[in-house]
Amino acid sequence: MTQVSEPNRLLGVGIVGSGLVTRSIHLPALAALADDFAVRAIWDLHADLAEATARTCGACAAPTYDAMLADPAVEAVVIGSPPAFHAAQTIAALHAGKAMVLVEKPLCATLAEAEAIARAARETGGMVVVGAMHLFDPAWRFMAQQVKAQYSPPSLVRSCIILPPNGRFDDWASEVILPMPAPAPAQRTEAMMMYGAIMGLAIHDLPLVRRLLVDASSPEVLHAVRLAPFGYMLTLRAGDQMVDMFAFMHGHWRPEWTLSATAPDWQAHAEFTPSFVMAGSGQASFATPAQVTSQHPLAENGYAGEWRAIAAMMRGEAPPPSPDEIVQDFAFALAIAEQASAMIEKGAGQ
Amino acid sequence: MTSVKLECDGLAGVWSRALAASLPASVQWAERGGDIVLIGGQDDWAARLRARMEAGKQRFIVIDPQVGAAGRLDDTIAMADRIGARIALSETHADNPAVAPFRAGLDGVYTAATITGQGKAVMGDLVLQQLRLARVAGFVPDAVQHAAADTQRALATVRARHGEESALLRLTAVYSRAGKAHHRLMLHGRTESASLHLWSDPAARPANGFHISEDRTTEQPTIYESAHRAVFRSALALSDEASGGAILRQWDHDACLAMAIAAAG
Repeated sequence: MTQVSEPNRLLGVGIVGSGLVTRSIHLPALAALADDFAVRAIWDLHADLAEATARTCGACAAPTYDAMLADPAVEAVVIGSPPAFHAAQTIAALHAGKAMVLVEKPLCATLAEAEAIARAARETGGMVVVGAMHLFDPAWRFMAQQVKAQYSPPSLVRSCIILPPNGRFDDWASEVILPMPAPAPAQRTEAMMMYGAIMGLAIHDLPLVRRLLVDASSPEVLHAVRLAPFGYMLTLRAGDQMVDMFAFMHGHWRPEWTLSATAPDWQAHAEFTPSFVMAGSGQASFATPAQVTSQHPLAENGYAGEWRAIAAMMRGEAPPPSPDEIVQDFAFALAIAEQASAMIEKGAGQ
Repeated sequence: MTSVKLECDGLAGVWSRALAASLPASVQWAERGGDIVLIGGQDDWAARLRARMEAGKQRFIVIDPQVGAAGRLDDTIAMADRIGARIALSETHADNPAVAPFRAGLDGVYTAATITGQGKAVMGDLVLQQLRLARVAGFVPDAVQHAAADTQRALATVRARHGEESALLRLTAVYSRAGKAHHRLMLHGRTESASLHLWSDPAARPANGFHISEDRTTEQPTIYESAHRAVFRSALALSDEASGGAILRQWDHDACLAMAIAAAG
């Protein structure tokens, strides 16, 4: 593994993928933390896109992924490729001695891959962080801190994600440098759409939901409905706790992204800003029968928090992430996606 | 000025005095011999309503009828039909004066509606409040597709009709003493949404309602009037001429759905 960097030295970052997430999220977040990070290399299967993106941040376009891994100036690798490639690329980065791998969600495609990633992290001493940005958002940190101090767990957790299509945010967050290659047309069944909605959208908050549950080892999907054009209604049970998950992507302007946890004597609630746009942190409140306390929106959002945490981990100022934890997060999401899609397949949810 | 006498049955003195003070000056309160009898909605409300009808009363307002009477209204409905009783229900959420303009402002096809809410009421009543709100907002509850519930929370998916279209109602209710009791109705369409947030106390606390289309939002004007005052004014003006039996039948349908959800386990 690359040695943990000494304080004040810039940490070199290599990025796999040069799509919207790289341009609108990671490059601005890293630019804001220029005292900690420098983007050294970008690699994309589409070399012209990598070249164009690298030019915007003073990095070089790596000719191959192996070349990026061989570059000693790259100490942290961001995996922003499609999920099917995450495991192999993450494990390769760890075995190449990289100190940190930030993998965009979902961690990978199968539980066996997740376990292989964790195994590689343990063997190499490299660190793996999954890009669940809300885990690093001050709103969640406030909420989690308040919930942790309570004697009683929440009886109900609710995740609600209502969003315009991603394209609506593109112009505010970045610009199209070169047209993205058109994806191959795909025939997707209702069950596949449900699976994709959970592993592509619900996945943002499932790690947070899991942390609000007393026993999240065997989540049970009691009911699942897929909403057209894109969304879901899910009823989950985990031990004595229940979870309500709702998502809907519409065609108008207004986003609404909330997470709440309610017990008989308290309620915690967070409102997050949409993905892509650098709109600062979410805000949160905690209510008891007697009073309400709140966390106002802060300037830095979860992406910035994610990179600050990574800097602290790489410099040895914060404990490394637990490989077990990332497997548990993935297994939790996968169990829900598989049950819900099977329910749709059987027609039981509709 | 013609005055109308109101008579109470099963209402706390403080509550009715406060309400009376807010009503138009033409309203008078009477120990007996009232033109309209207000029936407090505690669980035995149907029996008290029936007794008052047997005693010859014709006009009633039932305040927040509780779910305990669900499925046990046949005799009351039969009597209301027989004597031609005029019965209005006054429900804190469904009759909030913001609901009617909210419904009037809907302009789209909404395939799903979510109602989230919390409070200290028993679960059946929390769910009933949501179903009644949905109905008045234009979503007629039909049948429970799935429900999971206990005394702490309820999650239900209900088939409903919105005009000629079918729609799904998603109900989320949770028992909590924290924060303000409330319900929020949100309607979801491909290019429109609408949201109505109602508080659960009987004060004239204004609702927050807005309609969203592709690139604009219209906020509803604030109304500082409680549901009960609005219903009373309507009843006093004799503007609600629906038959008491029909009103009770519709309530019973929703209350039976609420009970089925709350008892789903």
